[in-house]
Amino acid sequence: MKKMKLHPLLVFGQIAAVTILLPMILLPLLMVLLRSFQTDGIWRWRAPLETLLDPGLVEVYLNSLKLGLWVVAGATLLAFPMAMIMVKTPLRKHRWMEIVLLVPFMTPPYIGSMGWILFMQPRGFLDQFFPALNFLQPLFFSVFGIVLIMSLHLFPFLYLLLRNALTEISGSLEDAGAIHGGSFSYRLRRIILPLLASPYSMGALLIFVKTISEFGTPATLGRRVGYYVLTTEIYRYTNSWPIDFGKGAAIASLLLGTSLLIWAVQTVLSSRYAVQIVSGRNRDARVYLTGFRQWPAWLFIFSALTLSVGVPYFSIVATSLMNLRGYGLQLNNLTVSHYQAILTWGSSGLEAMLTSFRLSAISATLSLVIGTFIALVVVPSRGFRKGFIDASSILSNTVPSIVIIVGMILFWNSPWMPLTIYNTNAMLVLTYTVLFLPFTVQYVKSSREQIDATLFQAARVSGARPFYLFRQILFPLIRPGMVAGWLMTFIISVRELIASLMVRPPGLQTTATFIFREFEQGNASLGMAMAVLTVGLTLLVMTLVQMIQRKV
Amino acid sequence: MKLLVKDLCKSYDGRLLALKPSSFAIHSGEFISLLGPSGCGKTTLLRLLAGLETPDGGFIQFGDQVVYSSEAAHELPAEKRNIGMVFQDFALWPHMTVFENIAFGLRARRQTTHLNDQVYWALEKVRLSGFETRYPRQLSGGQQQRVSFARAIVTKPQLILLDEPLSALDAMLRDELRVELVSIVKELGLTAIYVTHDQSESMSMSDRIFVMNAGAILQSGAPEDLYNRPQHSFVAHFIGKSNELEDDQHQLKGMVRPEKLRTQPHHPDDLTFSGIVSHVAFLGDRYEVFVRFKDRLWTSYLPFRPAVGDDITLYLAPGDVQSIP
Repeated sequence: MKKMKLHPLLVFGQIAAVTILLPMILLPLLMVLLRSFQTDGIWRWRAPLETLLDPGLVEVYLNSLKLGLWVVAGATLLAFPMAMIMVKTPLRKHRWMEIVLLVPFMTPPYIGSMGWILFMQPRGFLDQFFPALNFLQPLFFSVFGIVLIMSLHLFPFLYLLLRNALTEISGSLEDAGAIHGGSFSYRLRRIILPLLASPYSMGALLIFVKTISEFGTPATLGRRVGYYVLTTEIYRYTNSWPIDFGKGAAIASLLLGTSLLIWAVQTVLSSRYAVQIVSGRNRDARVYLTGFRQWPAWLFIFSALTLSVGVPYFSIVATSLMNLRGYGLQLNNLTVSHYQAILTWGSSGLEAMLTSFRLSAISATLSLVIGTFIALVVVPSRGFRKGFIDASSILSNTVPSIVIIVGMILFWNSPWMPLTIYNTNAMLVLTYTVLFLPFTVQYVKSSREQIDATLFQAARVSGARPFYLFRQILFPLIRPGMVAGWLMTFIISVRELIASLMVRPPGLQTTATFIFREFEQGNASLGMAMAVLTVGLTLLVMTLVQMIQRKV
Repeated sequence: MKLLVKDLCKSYDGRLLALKPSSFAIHSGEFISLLGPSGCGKTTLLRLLAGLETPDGGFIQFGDQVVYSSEAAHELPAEKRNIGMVFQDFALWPHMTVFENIAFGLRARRQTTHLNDQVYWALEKVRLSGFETRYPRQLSGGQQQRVSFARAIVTKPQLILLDEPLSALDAMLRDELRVELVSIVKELGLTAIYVTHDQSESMSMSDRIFVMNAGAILQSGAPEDLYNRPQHSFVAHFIGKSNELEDDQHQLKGMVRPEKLRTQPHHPDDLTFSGIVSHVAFLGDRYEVFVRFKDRLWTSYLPFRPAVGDDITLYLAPGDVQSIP
């Protein structure tokens, strides 16, 4: 085949994409690595080594890894039975459960943890309604509580992966096992589990990375119980006195290295061990546990949903409606005054919310422009350039947010930086944009990839010039992806906690920092009222995104 | 192995009967086709026999063994019925080699003495010796289906079920595998039940065909029986082509096969039909000519090409009208 000559416009696009991505994400990450070689402004190649050998840090690192392993185990215990139930029992008819399962996933982890803390803490809802169970309190206020909350938050990820894989391998592959003499346990051992191994390991690694990158839960519950992890240590070194960016950067590099290593392992695993399932028309899987034998399955689902949705949401909503928390949940103690306080013109709550909306809308628009441009460049590109631009643009999905934020602070706060956006609202907007750029890139990329080349060929044969082609064919077809990307970026930015805490200019409040501050300062009801409003908005927008995506 | 089925029926979710109560017997060593359009219940029947679905009621017996009886509340699970099955999508386990795929049934049933010999025997039967270390994805479609067939025969089951095994393959391969499949089944003396929607496939392979529609077995018999003496207008239409005849003048009502229509009279008693040529298709060895009579369109096979729009007269011996009871 003759080598295709690259279109000059595409080359220009590739150069422009790299030029945008360099200062946005690549240079900041490089800054993290470089800065970890500096102590007190002096270059020392042994600096990161010294930081890493600090026994205090070793403990924190082990804490992070332990937490990751425990959460993987916890998420597996929830996700595996759930996937089996939703594929192989009559309960699979109840598709609404899939939507309910997305709720814990869409709940910002810091809000979920707050709900749990309010439920479990002394004189909380557990004490009020189930005083007999208060022996569970010490258990919850330990590493177990952190593992529980994070597993409940992250298991839907693994569940979706396992459910999809199970649906694919069920049907005739399992039937063939039964016909040729395999009993249920034999089929499970020889057919189902081996075929699940690859998607499971991918999901498990993903959950591990997400756990060690997570800030919300360790920051809310972990700090109370004295369980410190990498993310909370990075926050401490970069935000509270004595500030030590070198140490923060060294820890961030460690986190960066660990997560990149895991992604690398995952890539190798998935390319080497992934088995394609060759299947045509897929039959429905066999149904087990019919009739009255369904009840254990129902019990499991009910318990999982109670823990992952019921408990946190109950205490968030209940707290937001309580006048005086000391009196517990009673009719004469109900009020909507906290909502009024937030929605009153001129109040700090409304101001925080409007600030979030404004900044998020700007970031979403910026992401829309940059993300669409990059997606349109990536799809027709080939080889190394495609891989490089693609990987860099979705790097914020791979690299823990806190690492990117540290990098951005180092980069934009450098003494040689001519642009002084650090400590302004623009810095916050830019941070949101960098963190959530992958949404737009992915959404637009997938709508762009679905457009068959013949659609463009047909338009050209019919006489469309490039601009006309863009306006009449390309743009209408990628528009749903653009809208979904904008909405996702907007909604995720509105509730974003860690970047807001770390790069906001002094005095500025966003919804997330408002919730965090009110909760920490003992004014939980006001914080929870804001949380209800934020999560309500999230659900609304997510439903909208789902509808848009389905229409495509 | 003799197979006996009585009043077997199945419905899904309380809606329509996927299989209306059906009874039949199959003799040892017979090659049976279940033929019908999609959704007629043929695959349901096969899966009920395999034990992959539970019937609503009825009775199934393999040889001397009752495998299902609603009266005795007895059901033998699929893994204990000791049958072989070939799936439409092959259903080869992607994480196992060809050897392991074939050996599965032997290992699962703990028949591991001479395991290698048995697997190599099955591989040789399907002419795939030397492929044992490959994975399914490294094989072509036809080879995958051969492995699937080897897997079904390696345990020497007495009954083998085939669920449209050739429909995922291209035409050339289909013809080749069809011959191969029948000869192995016959050589091993297996009883086979073959599900298909392709009438030429079922005619060329089967000892007997069960024609099914809307959840019922309409007629069963040798291919010649079904073609020459259809008991049902659906059967007449589904097996070969057929024209509907409704002649009040001669008090005749029935079906006419296109090849029985001639352009010359053979006998004074011949029926005559005058119409207009509406469309002609060249089939290689003859022309398929569609003739319009008043309100209906007939198909006939002629040795020459008439011009579209021409008047044409066709003759038919009264004995060639197949009456449908």
